[in-house]
Amino acid sequence: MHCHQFHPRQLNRRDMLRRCAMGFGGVAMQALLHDEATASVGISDPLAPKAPHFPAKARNVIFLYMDGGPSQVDTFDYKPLLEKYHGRDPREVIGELAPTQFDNVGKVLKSQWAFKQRGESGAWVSDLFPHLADPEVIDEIAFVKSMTSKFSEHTSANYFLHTGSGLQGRPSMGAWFGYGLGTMNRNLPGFVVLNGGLIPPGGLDCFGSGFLPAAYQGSIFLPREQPIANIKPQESDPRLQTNKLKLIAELDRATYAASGYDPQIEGAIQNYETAFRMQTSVPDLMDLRGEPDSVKKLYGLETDFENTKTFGLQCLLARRLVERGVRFIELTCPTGNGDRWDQHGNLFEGHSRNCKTVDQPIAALIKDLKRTGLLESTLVVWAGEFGRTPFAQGGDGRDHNPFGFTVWMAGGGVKGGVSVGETDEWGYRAVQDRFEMYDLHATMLHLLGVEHTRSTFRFSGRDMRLTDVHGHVIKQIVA
Amino acid sequence: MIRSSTLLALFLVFGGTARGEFADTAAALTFFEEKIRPVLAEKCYSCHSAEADKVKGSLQLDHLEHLLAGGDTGASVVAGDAEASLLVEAMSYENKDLQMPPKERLSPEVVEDFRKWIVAGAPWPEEPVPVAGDHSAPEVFDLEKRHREHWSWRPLAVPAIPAVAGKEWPRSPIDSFILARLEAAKLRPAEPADDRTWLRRVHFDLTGLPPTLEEIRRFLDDSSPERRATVVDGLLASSHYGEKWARHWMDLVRYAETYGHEFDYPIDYAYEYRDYLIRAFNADLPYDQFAREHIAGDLMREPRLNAEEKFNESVLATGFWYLSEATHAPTDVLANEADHMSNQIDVYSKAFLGLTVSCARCHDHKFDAISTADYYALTGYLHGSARTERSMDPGGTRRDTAARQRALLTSANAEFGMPGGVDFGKYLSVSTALVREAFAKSPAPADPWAGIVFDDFEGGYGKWTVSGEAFGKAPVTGAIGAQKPIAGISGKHFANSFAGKGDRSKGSLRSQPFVIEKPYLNFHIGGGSHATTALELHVGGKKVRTASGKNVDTLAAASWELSEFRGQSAELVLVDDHEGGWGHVIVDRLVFSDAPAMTEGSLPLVDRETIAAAATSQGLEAGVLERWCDLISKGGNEGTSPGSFLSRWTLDPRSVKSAAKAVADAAARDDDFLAGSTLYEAFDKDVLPDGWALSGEAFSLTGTKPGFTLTEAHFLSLPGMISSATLGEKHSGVLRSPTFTIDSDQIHVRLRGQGGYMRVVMDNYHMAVFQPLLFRGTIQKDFDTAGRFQWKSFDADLKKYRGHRAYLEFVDEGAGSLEVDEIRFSDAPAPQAEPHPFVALLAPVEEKDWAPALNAAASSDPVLLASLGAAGLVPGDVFSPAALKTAAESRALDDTLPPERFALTMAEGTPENARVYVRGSHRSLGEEVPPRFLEALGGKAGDRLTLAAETVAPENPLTSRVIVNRLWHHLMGEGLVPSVDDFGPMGQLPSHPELLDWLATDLIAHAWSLKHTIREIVLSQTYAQASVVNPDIDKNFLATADPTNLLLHHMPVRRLSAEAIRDGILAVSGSLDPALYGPSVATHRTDFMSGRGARASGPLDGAGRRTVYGAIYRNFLSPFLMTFDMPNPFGPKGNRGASNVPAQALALMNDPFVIDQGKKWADRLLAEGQLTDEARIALMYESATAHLPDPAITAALAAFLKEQSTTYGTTDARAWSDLAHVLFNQKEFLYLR
Repeated sequence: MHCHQFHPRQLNRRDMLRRCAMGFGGVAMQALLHDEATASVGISDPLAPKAPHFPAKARNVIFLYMDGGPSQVDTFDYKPLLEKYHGRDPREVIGELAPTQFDNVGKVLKSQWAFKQRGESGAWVSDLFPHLADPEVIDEIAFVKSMTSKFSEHTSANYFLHTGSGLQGRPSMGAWFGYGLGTMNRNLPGFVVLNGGLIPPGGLDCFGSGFLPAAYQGSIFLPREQPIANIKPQESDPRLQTNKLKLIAELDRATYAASGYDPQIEGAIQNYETAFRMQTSVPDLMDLRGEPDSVKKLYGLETDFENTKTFGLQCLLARRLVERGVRFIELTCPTGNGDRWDQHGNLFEGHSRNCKTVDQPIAALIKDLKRTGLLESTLVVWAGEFGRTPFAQGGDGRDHNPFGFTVWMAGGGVKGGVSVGETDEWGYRAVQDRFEMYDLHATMLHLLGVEHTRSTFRFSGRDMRLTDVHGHVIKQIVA
Repeated sequence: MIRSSTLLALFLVFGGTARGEFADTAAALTFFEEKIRPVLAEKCYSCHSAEADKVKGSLQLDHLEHLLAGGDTGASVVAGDAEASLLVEAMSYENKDLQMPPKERLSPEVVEDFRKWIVAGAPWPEEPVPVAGDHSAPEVFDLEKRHREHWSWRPLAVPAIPAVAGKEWPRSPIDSFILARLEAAKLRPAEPADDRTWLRRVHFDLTGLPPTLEEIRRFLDDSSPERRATVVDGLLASSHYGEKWARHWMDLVRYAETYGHEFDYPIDYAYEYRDYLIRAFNADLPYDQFAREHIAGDLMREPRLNAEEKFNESVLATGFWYLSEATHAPTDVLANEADHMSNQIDVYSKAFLGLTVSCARCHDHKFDAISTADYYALTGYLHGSARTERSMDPGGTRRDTAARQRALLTSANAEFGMPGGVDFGKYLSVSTALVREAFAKSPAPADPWAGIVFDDFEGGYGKWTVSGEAFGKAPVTGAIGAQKPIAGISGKHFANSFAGKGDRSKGSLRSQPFVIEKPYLNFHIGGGSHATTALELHVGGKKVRTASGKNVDTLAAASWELSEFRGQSAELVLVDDHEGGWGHVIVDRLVFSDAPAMTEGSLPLVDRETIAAAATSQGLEAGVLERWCDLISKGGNEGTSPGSFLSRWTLDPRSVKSAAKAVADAAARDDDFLAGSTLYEAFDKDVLPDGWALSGEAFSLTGTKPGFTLTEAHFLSLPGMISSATLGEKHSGVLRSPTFTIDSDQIHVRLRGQGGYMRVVMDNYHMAVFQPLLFRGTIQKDFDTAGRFQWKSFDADLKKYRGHRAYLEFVDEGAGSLEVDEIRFSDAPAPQAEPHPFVALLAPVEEKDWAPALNAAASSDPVLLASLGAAGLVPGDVFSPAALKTAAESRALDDTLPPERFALTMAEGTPENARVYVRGSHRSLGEEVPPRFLEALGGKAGDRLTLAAETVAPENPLTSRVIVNRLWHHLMGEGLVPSVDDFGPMGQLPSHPELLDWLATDLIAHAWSLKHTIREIVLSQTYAQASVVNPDIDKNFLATADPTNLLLHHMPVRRLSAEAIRDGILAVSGSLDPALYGPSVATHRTDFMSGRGARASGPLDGAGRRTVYGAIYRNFLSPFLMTFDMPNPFGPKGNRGASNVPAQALALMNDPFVIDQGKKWADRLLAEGQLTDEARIALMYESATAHLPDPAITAALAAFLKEQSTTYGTTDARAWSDLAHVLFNQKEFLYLR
């Protein structure tokens, strides 16, 4: 039934004004506005907040993207059998194997990290994540240990994780959230990617708006003083810019009148006001002087490992973006940890570095969100594009494994301290409660009050959605 | 169970019940299908239909019978009486106890639609009555019915031009159609736009550029009645017209110059297609021809030639098929192909037909008259075609030269004969004697490994600085991980860049500086044969020597002669900067020595005088004898070449005893191989085998007799081959096999070649050329068989593709050559190291019989003769001097060849019937369908020329409607059918169906001239309207009469496109370079554009070229252009939309490009001459807006100048730059009124 939708000719703001015979005018406009926050923009604003389909706890998403595919069997999916059969030919003990990306199957490879049960929930966590293992954190987390992907190659798998399709050019999930819910702060973009240094294979199209309007695409923020393009005035003296804007406004008033009070021109005029404010709101976001030292320390900004500092700063900025009402925040990994999480070789060192980078900052983020009362309304999602094989690639690596791997969620409407789904005894294939990316997306949308089958956009002759014609909410982890 | 209600159906459909505002039943039913049924389906059926899990309130809304019967609360609909119908009451939400749908109030428009429908008698088409609880009834796909019922399938009407009251207003029928509707709605057109507004509008619309001051002046000064036509004709004739309109088309064909995905590999030569478009629009190529060229330009018997350069224009259009995204290393290549084809069909069907055919990939179209069989019938055309990069050959120079060369060769070959009576045996005996004599006299050679050991890697990397991870932490003692065993190690340890992470890791070893004291550096090296896996010697900071392995993990001795660097300081660097296969280097035993590392069997050179003397006394050709001697001296020890055989024999005749056995063994292996393999093609005939295709000039069959070639290195052509060496090394060409099913693990090609590539293309997957992951062994490129014929095999991953459809492709891109002898299929490897024919001849024979054996064979066996010839061992005088002269004449023509120019195009492949993929799954094959056009449009079967002809056939109502609608859309802001790419039932209805058909028929009547239709539109009164509503129209009345300007009671205000903004800024600032065509200017990269596949950044101002000449890298699209809605190039996009977001303001306020152009503009004006401030202000304002500033604006601009100057503390160019910057930011610049 996915095609069965009907869209009457959309009325835009201009049409609406005409239809209402109001013309332009402050009073008339105010009457049309939802609230003060959007006062200057008007109802055709694609980013205006929209009511969810049903009430929900979560309002924001922080997506921790683990670029390259972390190994489930070395982190959260404990498989003692790997120890027993370590060094054996997997084709003999596991049986027939699916083709792998690099086609270089080695021996069954046990985890090099010890697993323990943590917190009251007794979740299995390996020594790779000592901070996440803190009971205060781990009991907030709901694990999905039976996630699958359709692709075993990075680019398609990344598009699939980010957009629900293995093809390039589809809207990223952050864009879908903006389309479905709008944003609560018009001085910042609704979908922010805090870039740690790595752009995932597939490039910026992982964060694109695809066929959705451009307003929904992810804005890349670099963790540095000028985080986005063109945010810094080029004038040597602020008065020079103010003068320009004053003159532009004056000229535009004349054009506005000459256009017969065209609402597009009115919108464009108002965009200048918003843009002007963003020049302040974005630097304000980046100004950490008000953060107490204890908080900075919590996030790892004072450790001596540069990548922990970078990711810590990203996590802290993520909290600040949530505070400012930004709808969807994605964090990408810092560079220099070996090849992302993509340890085709040198697994021990690579995964150690990657975990060291993210463990403390993520634990700090969850604690800090709790402390500030934001965790209830903030959905935190941790996922890579796929997992890794339980057997070696070559000697000391693991190849891509889309057949069963672990992702987790915490916060906004998620039931903490649970684990759903299981892989087989090798941690190779999901065998119980097998989930797909569509289900992850459906669940994320659900937690924010969006019914995934109803959030559609007409394109290419049919009604497109993030979950295509698939997707089921993972009910077991919904509080 | 389905009950049918014939009586009711008759009454409903044929009873003439359509009332209200519908002209006839068909119109009413269309309205029902468009406006009513979809709402019912979406909003109501989950509770109120046979499909519902539980029918609520006993009410079904899925058939009129049910609506009339009603549910628990009574009849839902009273036909003809909306107010009495409960359905309307519930929808309108006026009754608190009856509000439907329960969670969502429908819009007043929708409720109004229901009212209209009920007033019209609630017409419902004839169909079975669905019964609740019966879920077994599948929806029947009735193509004929859908075809009958949807407006866009109907033939073009020839509508009468409507009569209008306002007779003075219309200029053309267009205006009559518009005015008739306005008058019917009691509206009137807007006042005409003023001259300047109209001029700016028409300039941007036709050329994408603003009018210059001179153009404004000329127009205003022209008082003739045809002044507007003069402007329009001038703009249509401008080359900028093609640039503007080509870009619109590029949106439809997802034009880009890279493939996107992980590495953003390049789509070479894409810009040739872009330039084709610009030329086609400028030449006003009739649109039917334009479409035919796109679909089948490669098959046209009489293709259009470029006017100036005389290359085939028509074929260039087919490039559009291949501009899609593409990924490397798909784990399921057939699924990958299916995705590609879906994109190709989507582009074809939307661009030309306005149809969403790709929706029928998984199931019959949900709404339109398009079946899954239709979709797969179209994929047949793609299965039966091949992507090819073909030589454009402007003027046919290469073709003509090749013809002359072939004629000369034919004439030379007429004189060709196998040499009889040449005493090769004498050359052999004299040369061996001379070498043996020289060897006897020479001192014992020094031990090359006795010098200064620089490093044998037995004691760690102490002498080296280690970077990266490739070389590990210390030298190793054997193969690492998956590495093959390593032979030729001396001592225990050696350096191995596989030690890090196999081939993928990178790194280097850099030695401490040292002084070169000896004349030679000897070493052992192995690993990959890349410049990036090498041992390098750096002297004075410059790389002076480099050596690599030969794609074997056997260490081989090598030597550098370094006398020229003696006494200088140097460094050795071991690099591994290569990630792919053979991405490693292994090195051992670096020794500085007085002697080169001679390999066993090498002998001293015989001095030249001795040779000359011997030649004279023996009556031999001195040069040839010299080559015989050198061949033996330089022999080497690998054992299979004539030189090594002879040199070892010279040293010790007993040492070659084993050669005879080796030859016999090889022959036996060869027999086994031939017996165990299947011959696919031998090229033994005079004609190209069935199904094989050639393009370019390089390849030709060598026929049945030996002859000359134009390649100096092997100047003899052997019979029974297809060779790109015949015409020398400068022609390019592609040789393609028919499509076959892979049914062996390996494919073997016996060939001789250097450069170019050959590959197996499985399921049209062509990306292995960039990255062989998962396709190892299916492509071989840049290979060099060192002048010998040998078996090269497609192996490794090929076995994974058994059962897949594939073709072979041999590509000679210009330099180098490929000669293919035969192709075999087998599951076993082919024999390697075929014995050289010379060795094969001599080894089994006693020495005393060598001379006669050699003489006999060389005069009868072209293979032996050719091999001797390739080694330079054949005296020239054995051939006819006349023949040699003719061949030389032919060879000289090579130097007259112009450089190659290639284009990405389609070519004919092997015709195939496609199989339907059931539910879109390539694993589930359904019926076979022959290639044919859409059934709803006749379904004619045939080749691509037929598809092309059918696409533009006059009986097909879509193609002409779709294109005139696109023109209307680009000129009027919205199409008459607003969903420009979708004329199907899910698209929107035409606002002026008669006008649409009039435009379509008028286009066809004017030979499909797009310029004609554009001219008609922009010279219309409709287009000439102001953007302000006629003041005589009451606003409140307008709000209901035409709130969305559907009837065009004024011109809409439109924002400039991304390109027009950028080009406009360049034009106004004076920086625009009007050059046409050519390779694209690299995209300027900002700090925010990073990721794999990033290319070098282009200039900030794009070199001043128009935006259409800027590169489009899928993963690195220009943020400035994207901000202003340039589409991402993944699917057809006929309507960009115009977003309105703060990022646009930020870009114009702070982007360095905009600021920089403001500065350039100001600097230019200030340098140009003495003007008063006021005059300069007026001039700048007029340049930017085409309008003169009124006094208030002039005053505001002057006040601004003063304010900026106050802030700067002085009046200078900066204030003027700021003024320019403001003028680019004002909406008067950014919008068209």
